[in-house]
Amino acid sequence: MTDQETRKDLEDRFHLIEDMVQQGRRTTQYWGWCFLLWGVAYLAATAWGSATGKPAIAWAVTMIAASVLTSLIAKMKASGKRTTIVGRSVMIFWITIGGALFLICYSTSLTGHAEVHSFAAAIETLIGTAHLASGWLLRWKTQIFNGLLWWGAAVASCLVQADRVGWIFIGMTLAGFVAFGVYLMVLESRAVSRGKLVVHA
Amino acid sequence: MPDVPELNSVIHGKLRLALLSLLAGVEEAEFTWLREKTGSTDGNLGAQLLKLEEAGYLVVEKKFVLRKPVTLYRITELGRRELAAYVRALKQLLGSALHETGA
Repeated sequence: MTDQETRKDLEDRFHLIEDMVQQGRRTTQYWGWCFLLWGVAYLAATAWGSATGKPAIAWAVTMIAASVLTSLIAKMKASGKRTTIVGRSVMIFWITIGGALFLICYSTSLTGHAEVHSFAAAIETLIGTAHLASGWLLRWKTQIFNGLLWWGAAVASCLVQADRVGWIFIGMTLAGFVAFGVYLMVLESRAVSRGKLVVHA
Repeated sequence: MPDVPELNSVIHGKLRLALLSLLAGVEEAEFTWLREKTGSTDGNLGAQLLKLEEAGYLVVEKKFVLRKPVTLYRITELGRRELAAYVRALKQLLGSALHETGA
């Protein structure tokens, strides 16, 4: 059969296999919008809570709105699904961490037993854990580094004065959610423009 | 002269090769996702998927999710083995081609 097959054609087939297997494995970079959305939601809730002095209401409304928006956008973007064990593991991890954050935030804010240093450190540790675990699962150094930054912020939150704790959280939200989300969206748009191919039979 | 390996003719079609490779990287995938990733038409995609299904390389599951019909495709163990054998044969052929050109 090699009479008609050129080496180029064989190489093209080899690259096609690699590209296609890779397509199936891409997961996190298509969620850049989600990180951006939640980063903006955290910042909005922080600003609203400190402006009105009613953080419990501000956080409740913002988080519920962000959850609804997330599911709506996810449905709009999904033009067909595929399932991978890694993708499902990462999703389950983020959902359970999200649930844990919700429980901590509301149990402490409703009971009034939140101590600012330990409260911020707990939240930053959980977010860092989610980034670190999903980065590890995806073997992705950028997200592992992001997770380590959050853990570093958790330690720093315990060391600084109370009025600085909020600024650490805002800084980390800007870097670890907003900037990270924008970075993922740039990666996604590059991958989409590179990966626009039509495979003929 | 080394033996020239035969490439599996069912897998060799570019679209079928792309489909099997896509399914090798996932647990299962919807028809619409495969269409998006390959840029193929519904008719062509359906025909090529049917050939792979008839060869036993993938299985199809049709179900309803929120009253909408969803068709899911999953690669079989046989499909995975044959794809691996195809890749091995391709590598061997590429090796032979390199020898022939003296590269």
